[in-house]
Amino acid sequence: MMHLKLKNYLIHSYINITFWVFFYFLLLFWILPIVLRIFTGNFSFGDVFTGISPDFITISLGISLIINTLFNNTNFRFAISNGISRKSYWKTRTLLLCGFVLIIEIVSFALMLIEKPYVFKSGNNFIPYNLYGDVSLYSYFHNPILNFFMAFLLSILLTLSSTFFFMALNNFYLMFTKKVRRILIFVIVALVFAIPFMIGFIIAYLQYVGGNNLIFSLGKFILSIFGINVVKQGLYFNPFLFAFDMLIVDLILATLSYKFNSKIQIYKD
Amino acid sequence: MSEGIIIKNLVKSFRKDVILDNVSLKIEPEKIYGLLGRNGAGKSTLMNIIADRKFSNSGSITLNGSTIHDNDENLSKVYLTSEIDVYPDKFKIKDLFHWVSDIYKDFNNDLCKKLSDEFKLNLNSKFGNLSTGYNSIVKIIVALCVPADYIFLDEPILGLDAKNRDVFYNALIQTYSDRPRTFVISTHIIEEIANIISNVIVIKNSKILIDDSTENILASSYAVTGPASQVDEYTDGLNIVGSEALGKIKSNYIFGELNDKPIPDTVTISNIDLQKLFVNLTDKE
Repeated sequence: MMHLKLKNYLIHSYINITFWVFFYFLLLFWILPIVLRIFTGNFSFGDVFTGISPDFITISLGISLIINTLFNNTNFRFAISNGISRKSYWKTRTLLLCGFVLIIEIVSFALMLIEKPYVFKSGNNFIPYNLYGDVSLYSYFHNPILNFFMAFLLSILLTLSSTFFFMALNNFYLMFTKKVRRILIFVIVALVFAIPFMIGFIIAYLQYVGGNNLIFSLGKFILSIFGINVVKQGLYFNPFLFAFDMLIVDLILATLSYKFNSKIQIYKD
Repeated sequence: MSEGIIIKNLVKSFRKDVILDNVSLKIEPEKIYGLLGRNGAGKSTLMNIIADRKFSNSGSITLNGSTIHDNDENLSKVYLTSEIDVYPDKFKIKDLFHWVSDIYKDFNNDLCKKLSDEFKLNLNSKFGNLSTGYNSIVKIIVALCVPADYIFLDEPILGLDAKNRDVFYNALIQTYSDRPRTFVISTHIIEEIANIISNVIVIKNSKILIDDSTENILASSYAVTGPASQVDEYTDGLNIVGSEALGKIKSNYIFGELNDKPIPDTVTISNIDLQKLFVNLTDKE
């Protein structure tokens, strides 16, 4: 059962963070450039409107989502200390963050419809190598409305995967004591730098073992799992397979975040 | 009829250190317990495990027959306040009270306001900026106002001056008489709670040493005072938990039944207070 009372507290917390992120974005990317232009004498009235773009809104909302997902310790301690079970806390938090994702996607796609509706035009699922841009990425079918809804669904699934990933990472981190957490941060930062090298080494090893053909076959296989089929002139993209795979990834990450959440204890910080 | 909290064979260890060793205990409804033990005895760990903030290695804790762990219904009946700060530092006190009352629908807002006035608490202060004493006061107010049936107070008077401690004890007695519920108080200032608590639990070396009513414990605690040789002779075979000597006069502290030996004229027997008993019990290896 969803803990309705906790919902109010969490919504307040999430809105608070979103407000401050938005506020700092306004300061940095809108007000600061205007002030600089005023001081340098290059200011014109039109500059007031050029600062705000749809990207500004969607990026600030996306960053708010990441912060809301990662900064969980205070809310967790407050909830658990006030008679909320870990299970209820996770459910409430997940539902609210999914709601947040939905809002971000609605805003983002509404802005896209206003700014560049042509990206959902009739097309097919073939993406030529020489064509790079929005058009090729949102034209899966011969029907623009279907394209719109499929792009919307895929976008939600992708954003959910990053949300669940950060939730799982954060819950895993909170499972440990302060001392171990410090070591974990070091390990995570080291991994961020090490993983590209590790992938590089694996590719080099595979080249050594089986040559470029093996790499190419493996790459093709991995892409095909996600519905991307490589052909000579481009890629055939199967949005249904991609959506199905992302759904599986989302479910795995959500389960992991739930499992880690149920292992968190409250330590003296 | 409520069964209370039943703890069975609870074990908690951290690496090689055993914090709680096969602890079994029953916390009954509508009683005020004193949870006593020396530093590091395992009192806070026991409270944290009961309130589901920490996990045990083995054993079970049930409230009215069902587990407390991850059980919303039971967790809403248990409230723990401890030295661990669980409220955001940026919260103003009035916001903190607001959000706690938002979660507990029967939060006693009137008592909260009354106690805030009595403790002269500035509701506009931020929780993170409070002194140690006021930090404890805020936690005490929340603990006394939440509608939970089992309230665990771990070192509630940490940093409180004599006046505020008095306000706390009076508020505790008043709120208990208004709505009887279980309080488990862990403190080192035993003499101040001795008259409030109805039951005593003593933890020593990770195990429960005593779990009985205050009345029974005090009725079984004696100081046998007199000339050393006669005191030793009289107390031979009794459960001597400690002794003190001043010149030739000696006091042996006994916990348990006295024997039927005739009491020498030079020897006097008196009851000892809880603090004295505790010091002697926990001092003895």
